[in-house]
Amino acid sequence: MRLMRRDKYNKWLPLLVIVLLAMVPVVVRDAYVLHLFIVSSIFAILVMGLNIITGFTGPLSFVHIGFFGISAYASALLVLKRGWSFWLSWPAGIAMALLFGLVIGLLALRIVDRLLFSVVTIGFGEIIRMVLHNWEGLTRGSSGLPGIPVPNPIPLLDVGVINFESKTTYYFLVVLVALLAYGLVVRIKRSQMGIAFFAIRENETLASAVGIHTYRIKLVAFLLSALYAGVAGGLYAHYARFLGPDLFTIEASMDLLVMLILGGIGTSLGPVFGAVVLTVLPEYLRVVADYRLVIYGAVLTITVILLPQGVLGGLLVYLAARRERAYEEPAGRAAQSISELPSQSEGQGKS
Amino acid sequence: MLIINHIMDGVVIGSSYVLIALGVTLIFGIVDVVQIAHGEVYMLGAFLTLFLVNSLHFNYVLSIVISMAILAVFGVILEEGVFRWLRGRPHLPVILAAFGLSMFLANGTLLLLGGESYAIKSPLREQMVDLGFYLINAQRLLVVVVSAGLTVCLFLFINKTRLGMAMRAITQDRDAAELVGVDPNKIFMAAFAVASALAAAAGGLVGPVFLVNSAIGFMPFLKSFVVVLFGGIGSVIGSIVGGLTLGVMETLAAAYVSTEYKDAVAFALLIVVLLFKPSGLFGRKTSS
Repeated sequence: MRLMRRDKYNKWLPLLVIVLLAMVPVVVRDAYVLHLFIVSSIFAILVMGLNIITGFTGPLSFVHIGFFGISAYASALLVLKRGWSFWLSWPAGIAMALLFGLVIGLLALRIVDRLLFSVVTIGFGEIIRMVLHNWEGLTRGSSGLPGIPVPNPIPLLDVGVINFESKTTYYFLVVLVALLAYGLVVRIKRSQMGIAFFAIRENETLASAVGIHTYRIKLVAFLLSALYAGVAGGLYAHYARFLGPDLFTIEASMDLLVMLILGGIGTSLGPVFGAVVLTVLPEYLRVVADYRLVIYGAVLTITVILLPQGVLGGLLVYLAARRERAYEEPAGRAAQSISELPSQSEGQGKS
Repeated sequence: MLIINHIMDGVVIGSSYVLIALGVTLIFGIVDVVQIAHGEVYMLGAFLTLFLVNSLHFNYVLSIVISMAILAVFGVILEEGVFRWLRGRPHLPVILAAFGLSMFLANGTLLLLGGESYAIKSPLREQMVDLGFYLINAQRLLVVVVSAGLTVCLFLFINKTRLGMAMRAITQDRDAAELVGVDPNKIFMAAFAVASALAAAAGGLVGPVFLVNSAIGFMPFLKSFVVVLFGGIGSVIGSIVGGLTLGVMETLAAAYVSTEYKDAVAFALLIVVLLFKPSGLFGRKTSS
């Protein structure tokens, strides 16, 4: 019954969203607004990745921004120094992020304690940042990498070329990737794998006792998050066209965490919501720009204390509770997507 | 002779790590909170001493004592205002809240006081002391001596006083301690007060040697956390050995390997410790 209603929603809602997103460049004439859409989408991809390891599976990773940086630098350097095409350097950057994700994941995920794991990832993240900052011969250190070219044009048979000089085409590229990334998140969440993620998040010992290979599953989640960071890294490097090591500091991790927590940790849509709001809001509150990190710090602390499920998550819980009262039925779809007890409720849904 | 210089430098830096790490381990062991903002307490302690000495021309030692007292109260405020509300929650939200607090304090200080670096004008900065075998800067000697003294005081406090015993009782068996009339809230407040005072002392002591600015807090916290894990959670001896070891390793790495990667020593140590000996050198309880 519940599944059917979900399907009915699912038929028209994604289509509507895609049509609306496709219409944005037609309706929006302001290049600056388009720029905000592009940046939000890139960050949405990045935060979706963080959500897979931290929101779905549990361990809090501070090295996520490091994977983003590795991929961005790798892609930019391959183009600048080796003359590769973006369409090769981007996957190569993603591969680099995955490689580092594999090595770091193999080591760090052996630590079961969540707290110690997160501290170790701070260590790995800082080492990555230090290398980016100090390896002057490769990364030009703190002076940064200027002049990163936009992606190479794609020739269309006889018709012309898709040129990435314009914001509109870049917008379509980024939004397409973000939609695919979101689709994958939704699929992961409903898959056996997703159920295993949630089981590990809720109780790792128990998950391992019922036969889930916790180490392997966590590694998969970690690699998936590195994949997202890698995808976002290349897109960012060739859009911003400048990279400096200051983009990948612990403060940047802070930005991601605030996006994740405020949007709603563990929900599919939360990271997107958080990324968009926290990219757009500071731009329009110019006065606030200087105070950004102070406000983020306070907001993070207060949100954690008052709204454990984030703003969107809290809203969904509230709506679910209201619906429950109205229909007198067990907590509905929204509550399920928050998944207080995902292994249980999702398992019942399947059977 | 050069290597002795480096080792002495390491001991000076290591002493400040010891003081910060003792606070981190105290809060972690008793309240079960990773006080990420502890580095900012150290930073605020340094700024307060700076203000008292440079602007108000107070006596240097008196300034440190005053800033220790004020930061102790600040520590209690943090516990009552933030961490009390997170009691019983899993580690993840507590880390996030502490992380937010750390960012709030560091960037708030940056906004209010600007990004410039200052040195505390301690009267001992220019003087040298002859130890017979070695000539050392008086300020650096003071850092080591006072750190050692404070560490001994902490050791006596934990082992000999009623409050210290109550603290140990809480870490060993909270329910039993409550049954015999120990109020955990008071103990937690005391832990925050003592830990914050130690961090303030570290800031005031090291401020004349290194520079003081709003960003100095995070790295020392991270390193002192490495020290805590390396030495073993809740172990005073472990913090002392770990802090001095890390300090010496860092200065040696800076001298003989690379200055740029000196901070990486701590993280390399952290990764090795957590992978191969998660309970630390002197740790009793293993991580769950």
